Formats: sequence, structure tokens, C-alpha cells
Amino acid sequence: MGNKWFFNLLYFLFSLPLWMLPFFWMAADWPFPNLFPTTYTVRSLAGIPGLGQSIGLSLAISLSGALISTLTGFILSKEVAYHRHHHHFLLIGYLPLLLSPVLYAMSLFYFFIMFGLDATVVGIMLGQQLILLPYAFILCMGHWTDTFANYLQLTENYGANRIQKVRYLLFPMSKKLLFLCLFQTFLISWFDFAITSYIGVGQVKTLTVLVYQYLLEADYYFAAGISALIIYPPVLLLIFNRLLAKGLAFLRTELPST
Amino acid sequence: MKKRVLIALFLIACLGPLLTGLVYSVLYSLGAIGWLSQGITLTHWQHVFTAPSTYVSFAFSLYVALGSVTVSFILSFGCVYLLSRPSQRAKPLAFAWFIPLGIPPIVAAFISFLLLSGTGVLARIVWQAGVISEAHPFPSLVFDHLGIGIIITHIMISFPFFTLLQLQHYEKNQLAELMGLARHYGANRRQQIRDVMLPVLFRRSFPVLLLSVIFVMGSYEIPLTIGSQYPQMISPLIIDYVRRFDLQDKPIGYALSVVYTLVVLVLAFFLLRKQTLRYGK
Repeated sequence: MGNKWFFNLLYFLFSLPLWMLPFFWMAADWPFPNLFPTTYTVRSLAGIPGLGQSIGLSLAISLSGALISTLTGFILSKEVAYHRHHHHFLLIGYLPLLLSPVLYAMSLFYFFIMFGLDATVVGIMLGQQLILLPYAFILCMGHWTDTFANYLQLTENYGANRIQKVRYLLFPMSKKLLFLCLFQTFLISWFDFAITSYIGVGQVKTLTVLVYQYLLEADYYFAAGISALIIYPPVLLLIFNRLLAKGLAFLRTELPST
Repeated sequence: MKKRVLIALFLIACLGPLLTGLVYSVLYSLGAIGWLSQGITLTHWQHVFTAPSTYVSFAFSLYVALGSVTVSFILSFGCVYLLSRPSQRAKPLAFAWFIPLGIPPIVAAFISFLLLSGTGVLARIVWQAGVISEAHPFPSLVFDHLGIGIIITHIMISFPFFTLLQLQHYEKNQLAELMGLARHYGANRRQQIRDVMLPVLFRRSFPVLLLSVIFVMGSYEIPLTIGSQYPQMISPLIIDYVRRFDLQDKPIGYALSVVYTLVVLVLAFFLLRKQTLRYGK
């Protein structure tokens, strides 16, 4: 019985941001001792200047960043995984991820200025790749097992050309990994504040930059609304992913038994 | 040929920016480059090693990292123990465990601010409970010198992740069966936890725990949003030096970032070498 209460309390705390942020977004007045706001108002999201542009920017940066890093990481990891020094390469792949992203961006900022990439969307996309690419690479490395190499060899022995190999072996067997990698790199990019704010110099206003800007201005109601916009898409995607994993069996990749 | 090109591309993508940034930072810290550069000097490095703020900042970062990772591990271990009971194991894992994974650090810091500040939700609950009658007796847990707010926020993000990770290790290492075997040989519940469950889960989680310490040490958004001005964690301190109005402080920031980078790389090298070599086999 005690366990049940404990876990219910824990789940309530975990889900707190999901309802607290929209709730706070609707608050008009919340004087101190009151547990709940005294008055509410319906704030239009359109009231936030440049919000539509920020959503578009965040989406464009995250989607393109996820696509580029997943594809590049997938291709590079395949070549590296079957190299005789693959464990050393794996170690190298980890190094950029261990540094603080903002310090990494800081150490390279001069070169972004030199190439005119500071305060630009392209600059931010490139800056994020410093982290996204090694991450995608490491995530994909575990995929390339000896069994997979044997399958690749087998298809070659049976005379499959490159397109057939990708269509009938590589893609079906890597579908799950590719979706996972896309999702995770999208999240990293969507959540990024450090690289975006440093290389973007606060000029490229993605959603995270906008939250920080409103926090600095002490406009907590707007900050809450934008924060809700940041956390809802990934959570909905997680729910969707769970439903997908449960219900849609056709996405489960298994080799036909022979 | 194609293989070599791709491997070269990989090395350029991973090592190129890292080494370029490191060399640039070293040159800047030595005064060899930069707007107000007057030739190579060790003054900035002397300042880094003599200023108390350097040691305070490193110690504070380590304290926050060790504090949040240790508490997260203990909490998650407790939850895994409770979730591994036969009555709980039959149920599927609640979706709520995944929600904190979808919260970025900047939003987590903002939520902590709403909950833990002097007039936040927690202070209001305490007031409603009749413990305080004014706002000021409630200690603000954000912008505090002990970094309590930063630690709580990191725990909020990492504790569910550690729980999911340990649950995976619990299943993979067949701990239920191992503990059953220990019970069969006469071990009581406490001995099963202390001598079977804890060593296995700690050993399996150790690399991730160490990596988490490194990540938290270098965290930026959370200490920037709810951290105090003094002591500062290492990332905000470095950015503070580099962005100051006085350009003479900029090389000090770069020197500090070189020290931080080297510390992290050396730590990671020894940790990961062992792990990746094992993985490689």
C-alpha cells in the first residue's frame, strides 16, 4: 500500500511540468501566500513577438540537424566499426561529447566569425553538428556486429548489387536504429541552448533562447508558455513512439527465418 | 580507397574541431593572438593558478556533480528495489518515468525556480501548512551559495534515467534469479540487497555514473539560470571571463577552459579506454 502511494506521488512529481507550465501560462495574478493564482487570463500564443518564427527556426534546425547527423553517423560508423582499430576510433568519437558544449562553441567561435557564420542559422546548424555527429556515430556503432557483417557478405555472395543491399538488408535491419537515432539527435538539437545562444549571439531566437530571454526579463508567464511548447512535442513523440512500438508490428524488423 | 576517405572524414569531424579549438585557446591564453595581445606571456596562466576563484569553481563543480550523481544513484537504487518486488514486476513500467527525459536543462532550471524560490510553490505549501507566516523565513533554494537548487535540478533530470538504466541492468544480469539463489543459501533480505543487488548494479552503472559526473561538472544552462554569482560552476565562470567588458580578462577565460578541457580529456581517456577496449573485444 505504501509503495503504491510512493510511486503515485513520484509519478505526480514527474508529470508536474506537463500541467504546471500551461497552468502558469494562464495565470494573471499569483500573490505570495496563495497556492493557486487568484485570477486567470487567456493569453494568446500569438501575443509573443516572433514566436511563429522561433518555432519554425527550432524545427528547421532540429530536423535538418537530426537528418544530417543520423545519415552521416550511420555511414561513418559502418566503415569504422569493421576497421581493425575500431575501439580506438570509438574512444575518439566519445571525446567531443565529454566537453561542455558551450566551451566547445567558445573555443571555435573565432572561426565562425572568420567565415561569417556567427549569428546565422547555418552557423548554429554547423555548431550543433559538433555534438550531434559524434553522438549519432556512437549510437550506430553497436549496430555493426559480426553477424551483420556475415549477412552483408552473404548478400554479396548471392550477387546483390549496392542498391539491393541497401533496400533489402541495410534499411530493413537498421530501420529501428535509424528512427531512434533521428529521434534522439532531434531532441538534443531541440533542447540545445548553449551552442545556439553562443554561436547565434542571441540573434537567432530559437525556443530555448526565447525562454532564457523572457527569464532575464522576469516575464515568467511568457517563459512558461514557451517552455510548454518545448516540452510537449518530445513527450507526445514519446507517447506516439510507445504506441507505435506496442501496436504496429510491421515496424519490427526481424530477418525471415529460413 | 573509399574506406580510407570515410575514416579520414570521421577523424576530421571528431578530432579536427577539438584540436583546433584547443590550440586556439592555448594560443589566446598565452597572449600570442587576440585583440590586446602584446606577445607571448604566462601572466594569464599565473592568474589562473593563483586566483582562489579557480580552485573554488573546480571544487564547487565537483561537489555539485558528485552530490547530484550520488543522490540520484541512491534514489534510483531504492526505486529499482521497490519496482523489482514481485507485486510491481508484473506491471508494465509507468510512462511517467520517461517524462523527465523530455525536459531540457533550461526548462528544468525554470521549473526549479518556480518550485524552490523564496516565494515559489514549496514556500507557499509551507506557508499553507502554517510553518511560516511570512515569505522571508523560507530559505531560497535557488541562487544559493550551496548550490542546492542546481543539485536538485540535476537530480530531477538524471534520477529517472538512472532508474531506467538500473532496471535494464537488473533484467540483463538476472538479478531476481541471483537474489533467489542467495535466499536459497540462507541470505536474508538485507544481505541479498547488500551483497548481490548493490555490487552488481553499482559495477554495471559505474561508467555511466562517472560520465554523468563529467557532464554535470561542465553543465551550463542550470547554473546560469539558478546559480549564485559566487561560487560559480566552471562553465559559467569561463564564459563570464570571456564575455567581460574588460578584454584583458578574455585570455584568463581561455586559459581556464584549457585547464578544464585537459582535466576532462585525461579523466575520460582513462575511463573510456578501459571500457572501449572491453567493448572492442
